[in-house]
Amino acid sequence: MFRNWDDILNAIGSKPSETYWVVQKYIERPLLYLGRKFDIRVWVLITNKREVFFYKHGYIRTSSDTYDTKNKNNYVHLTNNCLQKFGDNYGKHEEGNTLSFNSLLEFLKQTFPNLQIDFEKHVVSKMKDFVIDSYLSWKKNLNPNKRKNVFELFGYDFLLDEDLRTWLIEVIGYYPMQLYLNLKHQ
Amino acid sequence: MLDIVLDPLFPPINDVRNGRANDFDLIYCEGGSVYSDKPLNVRSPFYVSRYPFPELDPKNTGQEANKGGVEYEARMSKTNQLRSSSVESNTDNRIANYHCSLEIIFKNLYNHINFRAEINPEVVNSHLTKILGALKNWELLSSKHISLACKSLHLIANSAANVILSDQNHILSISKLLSSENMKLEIQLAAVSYLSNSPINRIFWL
Repeated sequence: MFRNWDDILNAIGSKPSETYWVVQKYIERPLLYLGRKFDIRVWVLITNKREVFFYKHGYIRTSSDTYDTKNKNNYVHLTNNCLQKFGDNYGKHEEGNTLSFNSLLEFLKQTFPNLQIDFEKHVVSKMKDFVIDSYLSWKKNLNPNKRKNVFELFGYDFLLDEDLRTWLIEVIGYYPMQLYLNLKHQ
Repeated sequence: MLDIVLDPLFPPINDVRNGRANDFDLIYCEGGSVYSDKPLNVRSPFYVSRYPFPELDPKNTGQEANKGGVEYEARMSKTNQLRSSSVESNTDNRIANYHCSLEIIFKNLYNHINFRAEINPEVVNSHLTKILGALKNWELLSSKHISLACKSLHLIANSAANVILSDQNHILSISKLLSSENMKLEIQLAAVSYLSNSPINRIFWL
């Protein structure tokens, strides 16, 4: 994390040439789950027929430690399982630092008792918007060899802020599925 | 999706496509899908606010604090309880720093520009950098301090020190302010004043 433009330039300048980096705005006021940061992982499947499917059963990935912008420890700010699993508090609050959509919905209802929260309408539909926007931005790069009967699976990470706005954090093309399978098994 | 993975030469005896819930929502297709005869795009219209609840939109909470206040306050109090106190104090400190420095900057600029025989561009430039830095996070500023920052911009733009406005970094910061989402009219006006008084603009006119 950087706090000013010069630090960003210095960091990028120190990287090997011919490498590419993305600079993203840090969301300073994320919605917290019991004081800890979380993000939402959903899967999107895109076929060679240019069909985009949104998998209904996403899940929540929580951080192990209490959120604090002063704390520079990555375990506080990044919820990636590949990072969190090395933390001392991994699994202390939730098994595999993972929760279902239903758990999040329950939490939202308790946190915002005066709002009629419809998870599909207020959160999922926003995520779908981002999926379509991102797909349209790079669809020409998909399936460059025009292969038939193929599909690609993407992991989309979203974050909710204090105002319940949805933010797209990143899209990745490969990720371990074991965690999800464990959650499904539960 | 199953159509892709099912073997077309040796189809399964029990076709799982029947009587099994489909956990995948088709949200976009350009035609030719077995799930939709017509092209499909479920994207919300672009005029739909990014705030799912109008009560939580700063536009509404700022202008209609009393009107939408009950739910907003309930939300804030709950969220604040959950948020660690250190985050609160950190944010408060940042806001306090902004507020304090903006008042001092405006006073210093006012005195420097109006009462000094010679204006030192480096001093003005240093203040300008701080003002633009504060306006970059204008959501954290109160109306009073936004007003102070805008006044400071007007002051520089209309002074003999406005030669520093042509600095490329400052121009970039100003253009970012103009293109920011939900930018306040007051800031936009100050930014426009800035650009119209910039020596670069005069070159265009010449």
